[in-house]
Amino acid sequence: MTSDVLSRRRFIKFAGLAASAAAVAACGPAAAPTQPPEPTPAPAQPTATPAAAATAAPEAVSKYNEAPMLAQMVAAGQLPPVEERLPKEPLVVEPVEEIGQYGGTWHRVRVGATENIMNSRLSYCNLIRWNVDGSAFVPNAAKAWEASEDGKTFTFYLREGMRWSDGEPFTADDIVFWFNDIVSNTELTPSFPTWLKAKGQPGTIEKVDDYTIRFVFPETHGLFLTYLASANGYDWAQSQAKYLKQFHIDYADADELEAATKAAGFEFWYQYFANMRDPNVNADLPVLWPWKMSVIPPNEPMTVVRNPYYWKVDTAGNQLPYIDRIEFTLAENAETANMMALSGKVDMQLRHMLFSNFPVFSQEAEAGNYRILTWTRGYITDSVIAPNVAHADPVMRQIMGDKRFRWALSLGINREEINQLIYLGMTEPNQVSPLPSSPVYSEEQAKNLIELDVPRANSLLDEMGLTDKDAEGIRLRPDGKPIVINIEYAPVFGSWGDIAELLVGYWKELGIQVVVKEEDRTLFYSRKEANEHDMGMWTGSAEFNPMIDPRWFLPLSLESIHAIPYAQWYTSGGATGEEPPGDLRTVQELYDQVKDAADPQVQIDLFKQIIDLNRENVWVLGACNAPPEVVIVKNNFRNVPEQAVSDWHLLTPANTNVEQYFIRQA
Amino acid sequence: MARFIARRVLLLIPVLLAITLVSFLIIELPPGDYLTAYRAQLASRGDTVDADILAALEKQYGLDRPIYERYVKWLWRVLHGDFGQSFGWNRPVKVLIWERLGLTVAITFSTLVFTWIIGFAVGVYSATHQYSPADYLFTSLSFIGVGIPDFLIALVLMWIAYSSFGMDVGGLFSNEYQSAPWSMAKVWDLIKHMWVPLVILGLGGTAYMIRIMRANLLDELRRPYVVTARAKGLKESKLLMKYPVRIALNPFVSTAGWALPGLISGAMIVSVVLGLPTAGPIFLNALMVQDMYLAATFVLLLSVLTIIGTLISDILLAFLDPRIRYTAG
Repeated sequence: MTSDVLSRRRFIKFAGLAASAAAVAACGPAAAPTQPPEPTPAPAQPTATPAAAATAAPEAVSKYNEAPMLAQMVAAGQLPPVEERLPKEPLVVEPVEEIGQYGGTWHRVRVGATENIMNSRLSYCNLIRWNVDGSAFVPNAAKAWEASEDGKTFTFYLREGMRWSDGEPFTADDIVFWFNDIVSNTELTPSFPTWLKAKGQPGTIEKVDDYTIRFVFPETHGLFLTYLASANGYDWAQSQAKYLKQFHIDYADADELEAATKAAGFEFWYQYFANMRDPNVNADLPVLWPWKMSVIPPNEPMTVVRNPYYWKVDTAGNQLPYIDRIEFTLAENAETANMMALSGKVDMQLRHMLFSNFPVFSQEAEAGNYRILTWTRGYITDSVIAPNVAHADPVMRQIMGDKRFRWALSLGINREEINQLIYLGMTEPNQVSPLPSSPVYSEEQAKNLIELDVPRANSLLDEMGLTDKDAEGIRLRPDGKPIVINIEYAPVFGSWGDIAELLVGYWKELGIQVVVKEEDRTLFYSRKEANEHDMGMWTGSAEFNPMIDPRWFLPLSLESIHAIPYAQWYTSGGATGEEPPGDLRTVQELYDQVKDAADPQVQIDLFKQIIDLNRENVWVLGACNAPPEVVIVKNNFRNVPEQAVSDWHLLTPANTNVEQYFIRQA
Repeated sequence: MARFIARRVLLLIPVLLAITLVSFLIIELPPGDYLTAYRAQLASRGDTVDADILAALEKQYGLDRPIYERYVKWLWRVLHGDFGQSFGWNRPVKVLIWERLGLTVAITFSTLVFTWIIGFAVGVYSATHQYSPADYLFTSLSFIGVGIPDFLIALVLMWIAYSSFGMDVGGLFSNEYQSAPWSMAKVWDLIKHMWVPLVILGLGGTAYMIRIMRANLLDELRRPYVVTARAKGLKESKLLMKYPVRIALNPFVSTAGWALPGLISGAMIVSVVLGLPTAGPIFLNALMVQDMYLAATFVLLLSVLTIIGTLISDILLAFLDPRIRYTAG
């Protein structure tokens, strides 16, 4: 018991340190207002950011170096020399701490046999990327880009001599093939991606020359670069034209393709094509990633091995990646994955690492020989509380749709208690708002109605006319039934159930009965999409730059749990769902204007209006801001930045340049 | 006898058809489909997936077709030895199941044999040495074995192995053999790992068998024919084995058919706990994410195994117990 107390005390001290470190780090970018991302005119270089930004081609590097395992292959005549494998202007990555050593295996854990994040969170092979905190664009596969004044054409300059993992040249033809033969093929992609449309009109692609491509839109596409740098369509990095044409109906011999499709057990060519483009199934698929598939499921452990043609080098001219291979051991569930990390079987990982295990991680850090990093979350909170303002029951819709009701709900939440009980005191009370580092941050909105004020909440409800109560003290609806709110959530994040249970007591004080319903993930998804819920919970969404996915600031998509029918109306162009009333429609219109604006400053001004309407209406409730992302890193595993922003749309950890991580050998 | 077997085999066909239909419908019953599960799974990791990708997957998996069409197509393919594609694995089902089913059958069968050998030996000993200290010991042990659910024993064993010996008892193979091709060395590695699930799965069944054997044999040993044989000076061992044990074996054999599905479903939970590469975990997961063809194939094959098991036990019983008659009804 004493040791327990001691370790807890030690932990709290540690947590305090971590929290203050995180706070300092979080304040860093906020203190200096970040410039809105601006398209850089080619071939000017973007401003260097402190964290591993790209710089111009290295001077005074006459010769490139390569990993010993590749040098052996070159000596044996199995590979061309490194100069021939790299592009003329490889992307230069500045190491976070120091120039690394080649070699070693990065041990990770995956949950579920088919989980494969190699194409997304471990490569981030987009044409352009966000920098490490999501505040500006940096070059990536494209060495430079230009946007036209009117925001309709976007030109990208590729790297001459860049190659796929099988040694084939990577050119404009590959991206053209991806766009015209995969994305625009109705059998492979029945619905054309929204992010490649402007005002509902699909864009087109032009090949200017072998190393220049141009996207052309019929209307202004103000968010094209934003989408392009985020988690959209990174799958062109696994779509080599030459290789995939043998499986494509427009290029392959029809009879041969038919025979191959049947032999593989498929009915249609597009099923076979998709199968051959799946890295989990086809290890021969040429890719542009730092590592390529080597051992694929059902064989274990799933392994990727360095791509000898990877197109990045460090500042000393060493070809990246430093690490030879990554092994992904299979774990049955997230808790097992956490156990493996605790016992030191994981070299570096944040996926599946649960914040609720923070105290245990801290306790075992010395024994497990790892350190814990706390990265800022790219979303504002891990628990958005979303009342259904488009409720299927007209009486409930009237109540939930009244902003005074939502204000009352917000004023009834004891956020400081939630912070202490659930987040170990490491967070702050906060509404669902843009992150402080984002260009559309508004402190007024972030801290709006976050104080606990039960009397005011009750007077707001009285003002609404909900004055009659039953014997239990529960307020009655206009039709005489008691007000009962079912909070539905799926057991994905530990905090949801705990917060929901606390809300039962908080809102009882307001005369509102809350029933907590935990349900299976899939069931929750089905129910919310059928608009059968009173209130749901989910995480925030990329509030480091709310323009990417403002699902909580307007009825945007099926992920806008607070207003599904209104979102359906919006996405279907009025074909399904219901037209939103009043301000809910206004925010949609404002977001359309954001997309139509070519000038980033105009976009920011428009989006601030959306935020103001959110402050007024409080459509969704936040309790506290998100706890930090827990990153477990072995002590000898280096070049991992102390601070970064972690988000799906930054494809974390790839935004911290996983290719320059290295394992220090004794 | 031959007629009886032929009739039973013919009966299998409608039974199996009914099983596939029902299992297909049951998998379809929960709201949503594989794609809903897929999205929810990604979302729970903070990853989102665009509508265009979902539409592509829906077309690729044929989920835009009505259920009867999917069922008939799948059944038609099954008749040609093709079980369709698994959505989750993006691979033909047949590639995924055989090795796992093989291991499942191996574990189930070994467990059954282990259960029988121990149950038989201890049961006979307990019956012939009634109320001896050893009998009490075995009796207490078997009550514990029946009383504790096997997944709990699995958890406790794993914990003890891990915390006291630093052993990792999960899985069926050492790392180096995990994806190696089959060889004698790999089989030996399997045998070394197999005793843990075998003991865990066998405990409950063994205890049950011990009690049955003991009670039946005690009944039988008091019969007049045993007393007569003993009075005539028959050797004690022969006296025991010739009739009483044979009669007492009846429940062993007649429950073998039920033991198979019981072991398979019991093994599922234990396999999940121990992380065994058997059918259990992958089947459970297929059901949870509504991976239609994979789940339906498992249901089909496990049903076939169960029915075959029942058939074998019926035939064995006929050999064993002369009192059993076949009726043509």
